[in-house]
Amino acid sequence: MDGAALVVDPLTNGGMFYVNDNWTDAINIAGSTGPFLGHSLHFNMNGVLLLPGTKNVSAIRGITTASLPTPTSINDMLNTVKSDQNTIILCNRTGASILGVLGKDGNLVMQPNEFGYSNQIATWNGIPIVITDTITNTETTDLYTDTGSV
Amino acid sequence: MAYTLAQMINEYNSEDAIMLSSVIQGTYGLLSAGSFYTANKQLAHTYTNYSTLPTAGIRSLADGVASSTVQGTTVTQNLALFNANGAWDQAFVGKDFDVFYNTQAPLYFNAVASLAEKSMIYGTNASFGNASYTAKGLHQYVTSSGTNIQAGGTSDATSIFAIRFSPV
Repeated sequence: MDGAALVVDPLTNGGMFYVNDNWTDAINIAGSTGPFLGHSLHFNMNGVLLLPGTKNVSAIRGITTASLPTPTSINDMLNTVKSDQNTIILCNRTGASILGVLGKDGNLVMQPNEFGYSNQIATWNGIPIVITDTITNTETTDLYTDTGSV
Repeated sequence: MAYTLAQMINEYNSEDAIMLSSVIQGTYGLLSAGSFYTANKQLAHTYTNYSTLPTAGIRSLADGVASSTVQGTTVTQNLALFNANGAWDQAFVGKDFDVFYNTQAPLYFNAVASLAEKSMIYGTNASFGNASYTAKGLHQYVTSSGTNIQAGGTSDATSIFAIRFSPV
C-alpha cells in the first residue's frame, strides 16, 4: 500500500497470472492443462467512512406515496445532525423527486409563455441532495428495529 | 484529512481516474460524496470514542479550580474487504490486455462499489444488507441512536438520510 488509499491494478505485471510470457501456452498447473485464470483485477482501498458520532446520521424512513414526509420533518432531520457545510442529504431518485415536490409543487407560478416546468431541487436549506441508486423503494419494517450485531 | 472517494481516486490513481470516477458519480452518491479517511492500520481502524464532555465550571478569582477529565473508549473497527474476481480463458482475453481491461474493469468496479455502498447503507441487515459486513449500516445507526423519523409506510418504502461528516 505504501500510503496509497486506493490501488487498482491488474495482478502481477500487466495482468498475467497463471499464463506464461508468450501468451500461447498455458502453464501446466498440478498436472492440468487448463484453462487457467488469465487475468484478474485487484481493487484495494483502505478507507474509513467518517461517521464519528451517533448524532451524525438521521433519517426519515417509511416514505411511500401514501406516507410522505413534510417540510418540517425534513428540517427536523437536518436539525438532528446539526447540519453544516459538511452535511449531505442522501436519497434515491424517488426521494429526490419527493423533496422537489415538497419544495416546489404548489409554490410555483407559471406564466402562459413559460413551458419549462421543473420541480427539481439541488439543495434543501443549503444542504446538497446527493442521489444514490443503492437505496431501494422496497424497504420494510425489517430495518426499523435492526440495530446491527457489530 | 478526509477525502471523498472521487478525490482519492484522482489523487492516488491517475491512470484509471476517469474511468473509476465515472463509475461512482451519479450512481453511488455515498461513495462519491462521503468523506473518507485512510485507515490507520492495514486491516483495521482504531480511534478513541468519547461519549461525554469534561465538566466545565466558573471559577471565582480567589478560588481554586477543580480538574475534570473524561476517559475515551478505544475502538478498533475491522475493515471490510470488498472484492470481485474474474477468471477467463486466455484465448478469450487475447493479446491486447489493455482493451480487455478497459472493458472489464468498469464492470468489476461497479460490482464492488455496489456491494460497498449497499453494506454502508444497510449494514448487516439480513434482508437488505450483507451479513459478512464488519460495521453497522446507516439504517442500523439511526435505529440504535434513535435519530429517525417515521413517515408511516411499512413496506415498499424508501428513506432519506442526513449525514454530517464533521468530526464533532
